[in-house]
Amino acid sequence: MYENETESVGYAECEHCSIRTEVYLTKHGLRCETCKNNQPEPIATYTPDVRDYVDTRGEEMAENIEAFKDELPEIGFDIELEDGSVYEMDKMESHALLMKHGENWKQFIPAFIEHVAKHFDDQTEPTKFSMNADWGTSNHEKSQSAYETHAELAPVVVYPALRAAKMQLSLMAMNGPPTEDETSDDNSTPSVIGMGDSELNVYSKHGRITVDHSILEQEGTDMDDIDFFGENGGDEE
Amino acid sequence: MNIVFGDAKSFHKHLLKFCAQSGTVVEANGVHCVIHHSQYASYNLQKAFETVVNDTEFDPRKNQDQDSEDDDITVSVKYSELTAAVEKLPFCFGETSDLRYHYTNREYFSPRNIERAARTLNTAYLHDGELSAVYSSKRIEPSATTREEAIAELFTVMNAKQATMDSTFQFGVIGGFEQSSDDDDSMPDNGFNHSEIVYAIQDTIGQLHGETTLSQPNPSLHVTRAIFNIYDEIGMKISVRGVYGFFVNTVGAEYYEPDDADGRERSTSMGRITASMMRGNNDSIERWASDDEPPLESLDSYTDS
Repeated sequence: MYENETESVGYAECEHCSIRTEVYLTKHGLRCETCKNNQPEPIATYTPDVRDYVDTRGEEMAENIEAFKDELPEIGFDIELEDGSVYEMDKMESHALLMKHGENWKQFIPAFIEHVAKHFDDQTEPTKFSMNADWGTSNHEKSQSAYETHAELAPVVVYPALRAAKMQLSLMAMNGPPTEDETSDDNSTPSVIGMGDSELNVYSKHGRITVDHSILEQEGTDMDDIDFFGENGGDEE
Repeated sequence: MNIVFGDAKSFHKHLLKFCAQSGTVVEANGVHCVIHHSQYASYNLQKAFETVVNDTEFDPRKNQDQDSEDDDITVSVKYSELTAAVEKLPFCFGETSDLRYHYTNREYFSPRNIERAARTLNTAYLHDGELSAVYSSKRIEPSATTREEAIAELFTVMNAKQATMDSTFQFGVIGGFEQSSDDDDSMPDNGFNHSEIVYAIQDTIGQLHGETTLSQPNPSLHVTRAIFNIYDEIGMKISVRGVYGFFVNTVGAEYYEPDDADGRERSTSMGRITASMMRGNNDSIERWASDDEPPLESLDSYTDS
């Protein structure tokens, strides 16, 4: 029934039971006292074929993402921040980091620690468009009006830096395992990344590809070489 | 009622309140019947109903031709009995009607309207709801079990035809004059084909709600919103009476189907002939894009090859 329209508008045929009686205004038409809250069946639509259609794509994508996460190698970074607190980067973020920075991941981490400390001292947090939003205003789900440790602030700081890579990972995950047609494509995406003591390994259907990153372990690597937030101060879409 | 409706929901409430006024109970010989669309009856419904029931033998359910050797004459006699009976009513227009009565009481009743309604309803009864071979969809499905009920249906059809005329007249498709203006919201904006507009409205109502000639319409907000959006699109102010007639129309959208290519070709040919007769030469009424362009005859060599 329409709000504030509780009075009868007269005697007419009920839209639902077709009995001529006292009727009220409803979204479905003129309805009697008995039928005024009944839902119409079926719902009026121009396209009758979609009346019984149930969209399961959302559920399938959620299942694909769960399966994708399970298949990912157990890689995670426990990063000790300047105040001694430890930020445990989750699996998806760790893979996003490796996807984006590849063999430069060792340079990313000290840069990241420094960024967290700077934001903590300035009482700011980064957003997609700004580096200097006040605490609690970045719209990140873990954003707070006050932080006690660097580790609490760390997920808010790392999010803009890895946003695009996480999105790409999520898109790969949502699509599910490749079909036969897709696997026949020579340019299919490698699905597993592994790390050794001095190398990164990419496992694909063609076998293992190993990249030596011992060169990154050299002393004196300049942190400014790391493009922490991309060229424009933010992550690329 | 001159209301500008800001949204479909507001319009829907007013339309429903108007629909609730549809049924009027009349009585004759102890039988009570409901006449619908009585908002459009500018006469005393009870008196008119009583007159047709008691002063005639007309029954819309029966074949009016069955007792005749010459069908045309018999039909004429049957319908004239109907019109002759109603012409005696004070609110009926006729040779002896009192114009002062119409002016004072604001009551009008045309015997031609009831005759047209009677022919429509009779055709529906005899052809199982199919009013014509061309527009064969069943728009009217009469179901009266008594003569009184059938005569109540007759008045309902008569009112429905009046309602439809009020609604379609504003577009000038059947009768009237097609008018367009970008400034006046009582008519469609320039550039719209009026046949297409009426077709769109009637088809939308037919698909989503269905034409309800013999009963009261009961549109949902969903249907009303679809109609509201069409009026919004054509830049025209929507009104309750302007829409109601489409819900109770005795014919469907096919009746208003815009001209196809053949139809337009025929009308163009007629236009050419008329123009040439008026101007006394055979020039085409279509203007050349440029005066420097060669005449059409010079291009014959291309088409002959």
